[in-house]
Amino acid sequence: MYSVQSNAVADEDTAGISSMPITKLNDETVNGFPCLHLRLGAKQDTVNVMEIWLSKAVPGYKEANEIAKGLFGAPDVIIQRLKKAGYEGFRVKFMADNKSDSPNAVSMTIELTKAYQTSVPESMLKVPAGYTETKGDPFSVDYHIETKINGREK
Amino acid sequence: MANYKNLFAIAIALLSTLACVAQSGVCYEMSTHSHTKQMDLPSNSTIYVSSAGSGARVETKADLPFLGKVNMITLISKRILHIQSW
Repeated sequence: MYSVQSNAVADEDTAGISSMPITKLNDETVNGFPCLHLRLGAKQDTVNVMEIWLSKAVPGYKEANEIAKGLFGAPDVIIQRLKKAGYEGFRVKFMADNKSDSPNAVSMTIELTKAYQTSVPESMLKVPAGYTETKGDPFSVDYHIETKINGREK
Repeated sequence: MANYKNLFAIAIALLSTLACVAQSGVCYEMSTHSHTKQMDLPSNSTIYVSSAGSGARVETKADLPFLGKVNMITLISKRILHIQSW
């Protein structure tokens, strides 16, 4: 089974990202990609730390940033903020670390490990035959429990 | 219990954004590590972008708390995000 979600996201900048300060740190090479290393947010903010590594050595970065426009809110807001400050590139690494005492504090790192040319036939971009659309939330615990109880439907 | 759900959704959204590259026939391999005080959530994704830049396919493997190993495919077109899981 599968579900369909719209990727249209409101443009509101609820986190104030469009005006956040950006600090350039030392350049670094991440997984072979020469990167511009930036800190996003105020230097004195030691609770919410957000850093990004951008590289122009990754093919397609300009298209990526353009096509991502309007999608998924915050990431695009960040890219637009960086562009406004004169920084561009593919997001080779992104790190957001909430160091608060909250049990719900989230830390996350996303990293590009490899990039290479390959064949991508159109058939890879279509839902395989036999799968049916469901209105369930694929991230929902209840949804998965129900799926396990009722068997793994296609 | 709902927290991992948000983490995973955020990770997929970020990866999906990265996947929207109008570059012909490119594969990107990404690793994601999310964690809170209660749980770790590592996942790996392979992102394929079509030669025409018309869409992308994200294959994600994760070992989720409460759910175990999950394989997920996300298909992306310009305005609609298809999420398929099994």
